[in-house]
Amino acid sequence: MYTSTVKHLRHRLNRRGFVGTAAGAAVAAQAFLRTSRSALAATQLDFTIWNYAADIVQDNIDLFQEIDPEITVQLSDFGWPVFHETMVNRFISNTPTDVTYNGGNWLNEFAAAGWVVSLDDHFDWAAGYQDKVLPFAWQDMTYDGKVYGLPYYADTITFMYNAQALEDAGISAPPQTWEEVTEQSLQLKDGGMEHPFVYEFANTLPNVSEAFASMVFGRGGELIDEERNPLWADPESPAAQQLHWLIEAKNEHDILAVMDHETTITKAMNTGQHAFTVMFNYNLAALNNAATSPLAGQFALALMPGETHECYGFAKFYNMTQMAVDRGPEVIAAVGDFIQYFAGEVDGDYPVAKRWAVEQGLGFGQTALLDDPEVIAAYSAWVDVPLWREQLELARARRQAIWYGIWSESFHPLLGQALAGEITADECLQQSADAWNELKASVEG
Amino acid sequence: MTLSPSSAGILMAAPVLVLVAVFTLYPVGRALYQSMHIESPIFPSRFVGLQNYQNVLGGRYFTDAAWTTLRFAAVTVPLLVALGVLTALLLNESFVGNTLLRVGMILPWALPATVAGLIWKWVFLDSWGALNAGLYTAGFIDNYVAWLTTPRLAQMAVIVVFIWTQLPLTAVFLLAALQAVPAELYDAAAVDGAGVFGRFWNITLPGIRPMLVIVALYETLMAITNFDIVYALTQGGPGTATTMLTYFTWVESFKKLDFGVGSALAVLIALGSLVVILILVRAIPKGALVEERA
Repeated sequence: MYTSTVKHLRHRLNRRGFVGTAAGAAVAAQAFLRTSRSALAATQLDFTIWNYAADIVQDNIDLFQEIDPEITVQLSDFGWPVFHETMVNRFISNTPTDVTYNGGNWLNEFAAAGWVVSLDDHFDWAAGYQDKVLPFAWQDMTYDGKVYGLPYYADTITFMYNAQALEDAGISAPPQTWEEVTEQSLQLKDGGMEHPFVYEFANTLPNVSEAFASMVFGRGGELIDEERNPLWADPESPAAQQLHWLIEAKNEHDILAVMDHETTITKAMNTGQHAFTVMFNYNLAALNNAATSPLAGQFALALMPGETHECYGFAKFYNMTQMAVDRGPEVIAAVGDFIQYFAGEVDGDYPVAKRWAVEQGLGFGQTALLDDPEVIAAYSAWVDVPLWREQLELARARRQAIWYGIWSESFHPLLGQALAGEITADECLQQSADAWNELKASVEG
Repeated sequence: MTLSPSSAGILMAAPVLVLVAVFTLYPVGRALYQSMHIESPIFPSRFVGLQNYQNVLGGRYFTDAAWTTLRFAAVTVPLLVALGVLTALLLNESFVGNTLLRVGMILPWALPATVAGLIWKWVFLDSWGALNAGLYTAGFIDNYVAWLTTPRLAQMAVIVVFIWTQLPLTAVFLLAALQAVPAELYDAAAVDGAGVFGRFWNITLPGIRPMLVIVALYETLMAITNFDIVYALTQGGPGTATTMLTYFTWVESFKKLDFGVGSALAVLIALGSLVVILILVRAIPKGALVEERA
């Protein structure tokens, strides 16, 4: 499916080709991109992504290159589970990388190491986007008071359920608290559904700690305080309570199944063997996609269970690297054009972000798209839009630390051990707090 | 100018020596150097002596991973050797389709281990894996079995996949050895009234003994350094149930970005492998590899 925006872009390209000379097209392209760049001679940009819908990314690149033929973009994609270490190794080895996907979970680490640079330091237009981007997304792209990118997409990690399964079991409304999740799961289990809650977990999955944060946020909690001390070691903390919930759900109530990836869960939910899950919100679009999901239409969003119903909101964004800066002003300008095209405002629209939203159901950070009729129409096909807006209002980014990404690699196996019954929830909490404090001491002294 | 024999020898060996230095000595030296330093992109590098080794050896994860690795090798190597012999004996017989079977059975070995891991992941997946679907449809199970998220079952899954990938090579090696055993020995034994087991014990086994030793050594090393299958199938989980030493090293180096500890682990694995091989070589009966002649 192609959005009208993309068609519009193609139409514009064709129209420019019809109207004009090469010079005319170049002038139009410059105006179209509002570039500050002077004449460039075929600047090549190396662009790294994790491999979600790489065909669409490449198509967007092709569109961009048609508009601005003086920039060529070389795309390299890597698996999501290994993206962090892949990028670290690229940066350490100076493998050419000019612009990359990044996320709040790694921004602190990459920025502190000097591998990525702030947009504020290089582009006058950057600060102007603050009022045009959702607050949690802006926060997630900000390090040390400076913004480092514009959103590729910004989304939430939300609670999803099979409304038909609940109705069949005589459950009138989705759970409001985690205790209700347990109660309803036990009720479903009595009705023959062995593991009503399916939980996305794998040792190597970067978003495990993000999903955990989202569930903690639902309880009104946080993972770390303002001085970056871990809060979960306190047994009364919402984080500790949530971890206990997960372990008890798995090992005591036997209502929780573990699966290693969102695509696996999407298929599993469509077997009718599970009723609840917590995933990136865009997965609801996949669950309700009639073309690929046998049970499409049965899945719905519920506010994140817990006292406050808050959830984790984040941005994944286009980030310029120090390597691009080192290549000189023409490359910097080319990256600026690239980021503006892919995430910025183009003729009052956000074509690429909008395309992701309409075609894939990805969230967005650009506030203008909240009221875009095409986006709302597309979202209405798979989510209760007013409820989604309500959850979006309750989304917040989490506090970050330079060592978050590395700490996650200690936390995930510990959580896995607790889920497998090898250690207790309390041991998991304490050992992961120890790992955090050790890293904090190494960095902060 | 005429070079002395020793100079000519050195000159001729130099290209190979340079290659060895670049691709073997430098990495080993670099690993030793890193293992005695804090080596991380986010922490300043500094010399820490043997602290990385102390941290590794004093940590529970290393002990767990070492035991998991040893258990894995202790189960898979004897199984592989036994199954390899049985398969080779089968392939050594004449029957219709023998050639096709020989070609077909080599396929699992031709697949990269990561691909094999991914294929088998679809077999073992809890909710919609082929194994559960088959067992459920056939009425053997009432509920789907959590193969990959139950520690013991996940360990078993890794063993199954490892054997599946390694058995073809083992069988082919042993088949080659079987075919080198002189047929007249079997004829003579038959004349002497030896039965099937007698012929196997007194002729086949001694005949393939050198290859059995080689296969056992090779598979021991493969088991100790098994990484790809764990990475693709279980990612060391659930928890740390299938985390073996090489996977643990990868996590420390490339996930936690602690190249100092990762290098210390790599050095320990290399030393450990050396010790295991030495023990195995010492344990081999005299003359097992080379027939002694007067």
